[in-house]
Amino acid sequence: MKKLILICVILLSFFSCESSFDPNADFRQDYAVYFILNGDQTYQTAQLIKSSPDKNGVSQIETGIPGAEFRLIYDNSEYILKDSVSAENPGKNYYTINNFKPAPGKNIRLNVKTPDGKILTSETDTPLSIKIQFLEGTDEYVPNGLSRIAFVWKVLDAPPEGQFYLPRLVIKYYYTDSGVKSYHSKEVPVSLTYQSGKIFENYPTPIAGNYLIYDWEAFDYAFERLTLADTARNNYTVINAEFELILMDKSMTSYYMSSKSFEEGFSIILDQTEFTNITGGFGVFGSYFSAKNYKLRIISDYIIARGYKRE
Amino acid sequence: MIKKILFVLLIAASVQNAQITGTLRGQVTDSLSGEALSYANVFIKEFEVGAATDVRGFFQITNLPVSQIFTVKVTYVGYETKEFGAFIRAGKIASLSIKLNPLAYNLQTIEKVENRVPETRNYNISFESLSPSRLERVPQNVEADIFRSLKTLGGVSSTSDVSARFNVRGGSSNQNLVLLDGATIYQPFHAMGLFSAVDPEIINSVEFYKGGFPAEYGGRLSSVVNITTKDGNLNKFSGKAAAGLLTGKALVEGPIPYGSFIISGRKNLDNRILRSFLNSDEIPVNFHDISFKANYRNPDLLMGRQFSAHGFFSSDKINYNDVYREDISWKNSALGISWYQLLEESPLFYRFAINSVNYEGEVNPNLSGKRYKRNFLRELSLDTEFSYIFPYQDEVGAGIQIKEIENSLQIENRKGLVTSSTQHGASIVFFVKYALNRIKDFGLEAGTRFNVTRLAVGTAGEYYFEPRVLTFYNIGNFARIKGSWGLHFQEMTTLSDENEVISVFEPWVVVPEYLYPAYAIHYIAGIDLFLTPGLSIGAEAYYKPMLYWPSVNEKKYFEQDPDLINGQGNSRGFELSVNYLERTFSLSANYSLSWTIKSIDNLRYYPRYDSRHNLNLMTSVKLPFDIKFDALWTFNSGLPYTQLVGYYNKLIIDDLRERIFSFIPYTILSERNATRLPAYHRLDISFSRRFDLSYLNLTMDMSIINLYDRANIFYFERDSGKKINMLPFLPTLSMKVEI
Repeated sequence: MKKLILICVILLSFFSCESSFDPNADFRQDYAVYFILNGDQTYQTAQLIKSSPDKNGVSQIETGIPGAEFRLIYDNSEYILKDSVSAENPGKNYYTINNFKPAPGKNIRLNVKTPDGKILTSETDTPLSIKIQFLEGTDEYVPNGLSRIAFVWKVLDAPPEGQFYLPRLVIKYYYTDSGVKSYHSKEVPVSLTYQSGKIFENYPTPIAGNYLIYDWEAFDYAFERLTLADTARNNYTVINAEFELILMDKSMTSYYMSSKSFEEGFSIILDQTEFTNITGGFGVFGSYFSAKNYKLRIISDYIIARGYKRE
Repeated sequence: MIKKILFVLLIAASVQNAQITGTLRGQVTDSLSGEALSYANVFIKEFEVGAATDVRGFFQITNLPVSQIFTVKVTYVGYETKEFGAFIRAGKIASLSIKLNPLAYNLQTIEKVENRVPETRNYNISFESLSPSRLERVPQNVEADIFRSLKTLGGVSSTSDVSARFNVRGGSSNQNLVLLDGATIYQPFHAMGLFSAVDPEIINSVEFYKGGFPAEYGGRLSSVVNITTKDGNLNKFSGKAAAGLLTGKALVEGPIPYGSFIISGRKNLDNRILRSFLNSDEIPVNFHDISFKANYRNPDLLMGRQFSAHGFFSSDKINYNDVYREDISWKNSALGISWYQLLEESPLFYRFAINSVNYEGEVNPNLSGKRYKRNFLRELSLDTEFSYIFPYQDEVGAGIQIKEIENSLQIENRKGLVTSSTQHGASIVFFVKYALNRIKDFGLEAGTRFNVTRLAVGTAGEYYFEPRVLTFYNIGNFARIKGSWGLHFQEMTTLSDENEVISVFEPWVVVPEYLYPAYAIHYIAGIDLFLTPGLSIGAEAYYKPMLYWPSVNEKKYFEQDPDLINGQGNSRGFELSVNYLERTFSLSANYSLSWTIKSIDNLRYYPRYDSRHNLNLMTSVKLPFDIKFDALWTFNSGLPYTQLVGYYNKLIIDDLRERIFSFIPYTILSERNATRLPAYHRLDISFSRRFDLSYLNLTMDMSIINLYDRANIFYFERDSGKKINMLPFLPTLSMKVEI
């Protein structure tokens, strides 16, 4: 028996092999629809993308597929999008519609028929309300003597649940060159991270809550850097700071969040999960509104002390 | 009060019945070190009855005729068999302290086959006991490892040979309870799960239940790994030092007044070998573990009692010193005391233990773009149990297990949403079991756990029972049929992404109140055949439905979405083991055929560890010149894999206000785990030899992993399509010095 085992071991030692395995299955033609409605305007665009059997092929087809039918059903009316080629990017194909401005709290359905007859469908509910009021607790001016800047708001005519916000705080200013003003804005990070002698800026992501706190030092840091390398600070005139909220519908927020996927260092993600509300394909059909801007006054002494002009 | 009454009744019963028969009990230890020998065989020739020692080396045989001399035969792997006469007076309990002499190394056999005796009372089903010598028989991957050794057993699988994580009979890896001297170790791995955090040098015995575990064990659905550490050398001071390609370690043990102590420590020295494990140029892993135990047994002060204190600390850090990469760390600590007692004139065993366990894991993202994660868990547990053997051999056992857990978790899921929660709960569990042993060749053990509180709730209000039944029937001396049925609950789980190839951060959480605790029902039947003194065959079939199986909610996009959702599944299978042993040669073959299905959110699929066929062939041979040769050939049929069917452009929202978008290529996957990777197989061999040099004992071990360099697929990089293989041909060398 011992000899038999040893012989087996020796035989196995000469038996080296490698199995062939294809990590790819047979190619399947799929489509993705990207249709993000802007509730602030009447002109809307959509795009249809098709899949490719290889990764390099994908980059060749981002221009959009012509020849499809896009239909919207809104308030019991049907709207057909126009198959058009972008004037700015002649190679790109879009589906467009004019005079279509969705209202808050509405259901919109989408039907797409691809050039090869495949049907893709979706629907979305626009954000419930755009009537937002900033509450007590929101800072009116900076510097406020505190280490933070707070923004608190509430929805006036809809339940607070189910609203999703994409916040942004910007410092508005203009640059004067030979009497000509050019207007600019600089986004303020919500906080800073210090590590290994470097400073890193953190910006806000979509939130479902009704407040956001900025670190004062993050504001100060951004304010100091309005001019970048330009030492002639008196050419810069600071207007104010403005806190902006964008309201996104649930589908839009889900897609936004899922597209911010990340992986942990050694955690090698084999399979990906993703959000789509397109039945029969991939992509997103969603909507957003610019809800409310809140002006934050910047105290003159602070502006002047930094070498800028005040308006 | 109830316990006191019961105790008095039991004492009275024993005194009354002990007039007719007598009881023999005692402890089997190593004559040189005084270390308890677990699962030694104690056999009384004249009456053909026997018992195996428990993890503390204790045994008890009741219902023996009194006033006559009989022969006690004690056998244990690697030790000289001992035979002696014994005598029991009517109404008395005879206590023995049996010291076995270890065989000299060059005479040491694989197992003293001729001394194997059938145990007359054996409820063990789906059970394996692993002694240090059994662990040494498995060719090791760089480091000897308890969990890698478990993988050689039928019913135990894993998703790669890189990781020491294991799956038992279709359960996920978080369904395995790992106990170290009674304390739960939540993250018992080093170096991203590559190795066990428990140094095998400190292990006295390992009890491994693959299912059907008795009523004293609970809290997990699939398996129990109960590790008992050594007590330390009672007779002399000694030390060991060893260095391999990965770690250096040292162990010191010796006597203290009325007791002994043992301390061991291990630290990684060189990580270059890990590059082969992870196909990476840089593995900045830093880990260490420390274990200690001290015990006290003053016969004048503590007659029949043993008091011990133990501790275990492990720490792992992955630190790149690069601000653009995340730092990961985790650590375990366990401190405990236990009190073990045999009543002098009663066949009563009593145990009381307190353990304090801490686990902490953290991912510090720095500027990597990853998310901060931290998991903290503190457990304080109090266990008390007793068992009493009636003169007619029936046995009753009961106990209370009280556990307080504080758990906090700060984590962001892959969608970027933060989960921050702190839980504080307590569980109180009573268990009771009764073994009907009075019928010759037949045994029936019935018991239940009674959960008074639920961890997630922390108070009374949700009661549930976990009934369990084990039975066996001996057919002569050559066969035993056995069966088991039981309900097993689990209230803790990990938030692990089962799609990850190597999961570094596996936070433990209490199953939240909005989910019902997971439970599994074990149905097991089996047969053991003892064909010749050296040849035994075991076969078991099982079916294990798993309900309310908590799984990470992969569709959590919003804060109010639950982190966990319930899934369900089942596994079924058949296992066959053949063991052949003779003086200088052993061969074991373990085969399992199994199916596991999991279902979440209306999606049914095979989990990534579902392997249809598994075969492990292991041999150990004594060669000339005192060289020991071990070999292990492993075959697993292909694991499930999700294929790629194409790519499309995914829209990335760079700036919604300005409507600035971009596209990135994104993969389209086929049905989840619908195809299978090629089969896995690998041959490992090792040669070891011990040299005795004056006061030094040197042990050299040369191992070769993957002798024929089989290219087993680990995973494919989705981006590049590059194939990453598991361990290649890898020779390793280690040396151990004992003083």
